[in-house]
Amino acid sequence: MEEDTKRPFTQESESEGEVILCPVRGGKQSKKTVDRAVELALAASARLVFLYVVDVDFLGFATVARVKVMVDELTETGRFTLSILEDRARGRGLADVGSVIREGAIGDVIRAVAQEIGATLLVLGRPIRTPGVMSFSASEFDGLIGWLQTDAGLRVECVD
Amino acid sequence: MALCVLLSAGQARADESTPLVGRVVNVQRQPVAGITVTLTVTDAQGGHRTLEAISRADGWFVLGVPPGARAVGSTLTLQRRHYSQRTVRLDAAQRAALQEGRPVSVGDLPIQRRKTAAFWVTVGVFLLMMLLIGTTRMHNALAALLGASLLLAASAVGQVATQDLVVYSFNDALDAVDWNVVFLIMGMMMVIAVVEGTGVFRWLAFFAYKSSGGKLWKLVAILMLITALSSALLDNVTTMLLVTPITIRIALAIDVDPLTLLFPEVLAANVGGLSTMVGTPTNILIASYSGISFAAFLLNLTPGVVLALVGIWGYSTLRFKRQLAARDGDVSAKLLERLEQGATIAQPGHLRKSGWVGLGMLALFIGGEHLHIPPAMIALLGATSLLVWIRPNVEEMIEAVDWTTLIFFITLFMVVGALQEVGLIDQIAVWVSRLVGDSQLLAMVVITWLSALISTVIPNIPFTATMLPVIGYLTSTMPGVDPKSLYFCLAVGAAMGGNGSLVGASANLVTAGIAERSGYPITFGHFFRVGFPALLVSVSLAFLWLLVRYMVF
Repeated sequence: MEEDTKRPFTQESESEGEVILCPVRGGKQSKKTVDRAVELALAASARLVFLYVVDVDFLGFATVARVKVMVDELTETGRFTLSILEDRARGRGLADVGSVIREGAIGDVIRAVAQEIGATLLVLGRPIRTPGVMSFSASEFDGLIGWLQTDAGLRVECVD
Repeated sequence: MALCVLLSAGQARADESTPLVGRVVNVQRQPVAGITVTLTVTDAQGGHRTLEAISRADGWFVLGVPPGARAVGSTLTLQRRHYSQRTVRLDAAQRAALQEGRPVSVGDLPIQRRKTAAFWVTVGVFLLMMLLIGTTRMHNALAALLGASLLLAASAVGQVATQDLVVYSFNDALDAVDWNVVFLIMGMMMVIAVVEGTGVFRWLAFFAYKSSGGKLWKLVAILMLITALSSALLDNVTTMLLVTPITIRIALAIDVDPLTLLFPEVLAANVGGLSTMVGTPTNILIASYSGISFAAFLLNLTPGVVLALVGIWGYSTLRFKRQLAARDGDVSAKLLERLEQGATIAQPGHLRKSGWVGLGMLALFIGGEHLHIPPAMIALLGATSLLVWIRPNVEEMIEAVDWTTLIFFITLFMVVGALQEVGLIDQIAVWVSRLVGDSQLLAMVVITWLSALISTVIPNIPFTATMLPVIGYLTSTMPGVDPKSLYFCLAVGAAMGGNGSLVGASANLVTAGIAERSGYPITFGHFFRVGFPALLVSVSLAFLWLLVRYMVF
């Protein structure tokens, strides 16, 4: 999986100030999270980075042979989603917006990207319960938040 | 007739032995195979000899009584695992005939089932397997593998502890596997792997958008048509894997809730696959078991499928009336441009060659009935010729075969074979038979609707595999019934029943998974509220067609 290189992140950009990481999937559920992240970025004149994680765990109960095709398709869908979110953020007056797409387990990817881009604040929505298709449980979510706050020293804002 | 043939065969050996023939049947007068029939005789020298024969698939057996031998004790003994042992006393005339070297027929010999410990073990293992699959606690292949392994383990323990625990031998388990189904699915997977890499679905979906002229009801209809046709030729899961992401992108570009397009699509995929023998795994199972041809599936089910699709389209436009009418956002020119750029055929050469091979396979599937070529052989020939023609990376192609699905089918057949072995299938068949009596109409109603409703809550593949011997029993015992009518009722119920709930079909779970990853989760309740009425509409219309086809014409 290649990273979206449209807006690369450099050490210089990390030192410029606050960086907000906002992992999203798109859709109505993400709207409040995105609005909050944009609001915070505008208030702090921060860089806002949207993250879309491609994970195909849900194929486990159907088929395992088509992972590569599925990853390609979900990556393209992720690009669409991020493109829409970036446009919306810019439309609200935020100049410094970027996005990253990665494949992997959600929690692991969030940890890795937060460290890579030098994120200082994480804004994310609490996952809703959708039986049968969710791969990110409430306990995993709470565990991730705990790790990000204590071990990574990040400020985390959860949007319900 | 069979008796005459057996007696003639016996006469041909008359100078060596005298034939004693009979037919073993169950309490429903159906032939029973594999029964060991023994008769102890005293030969001319006064020594005792036990003669043995095993009943064939049609229930008949032949014992060759040596010249001059006399029956000792005058009894035939019938025995087999999971049946009560039975002894049949030969009357004086039969014994005299044997001694004089004249053929003897003992007629039909009924034998009764016996519920052994193996029966309850098998039922328990089957229920456990269904529970694990139905609740997605375990991958379906692993659950079926576990089921088959437990049954074989119980049999192994039974061999040393108590015969009552023996379900079947390993060879019996292997004999229960329908390899025609396994190789047909494997061949189709290889062809599909080539097609899915060509980008044809991205092109088709964008073509759908362009053709709709921005009218959403029209877009829904075209997407449903594309999905239904694709799932008739490929499998439903692959179709939805490839169609769902591009549909979500189209919906994002034109600012429409993606679920408005996805629900009609997945409902159409589950219905569309029904029209061909290779469109759904349940149809493949039915075709292999019943011997119904590709052409017969196409001709007898397509009208019902078309009716059901029209019904689902009408239902969807009503169900999503508000979403289809109210578009609060704008069409994004930037995103549409991006869609158009992506809507190109990535490997036109591969697509063209796949098309030619696909047409050849279609012709063979249709004509295969007359040429006596099994569908599995056609799929393997098609897959091989395509691979030789395009010379892809063979390792990638081997990886593209979903081996877990094949393991699922192999081990599922073993479990269902055990159900047959211990007599549960017979019991279900008798129960259904008592329920429907001799009425074809009642049988069609019960099979269609029972299958549809059960398939909403339990996976339709194991359900269909279990029901096939039941339908086989009904078609052989009901007077004047067209066997195809009952098999097609099972096909309609099992396939369209998948629309009733999120767990009813793998295509539903895949669609929900992709939608959730894209920010549009589909809950169990949401799917039920949309899918169950669609089930009622589609099954009613398809059933109406089957009634017209088999009760009127």
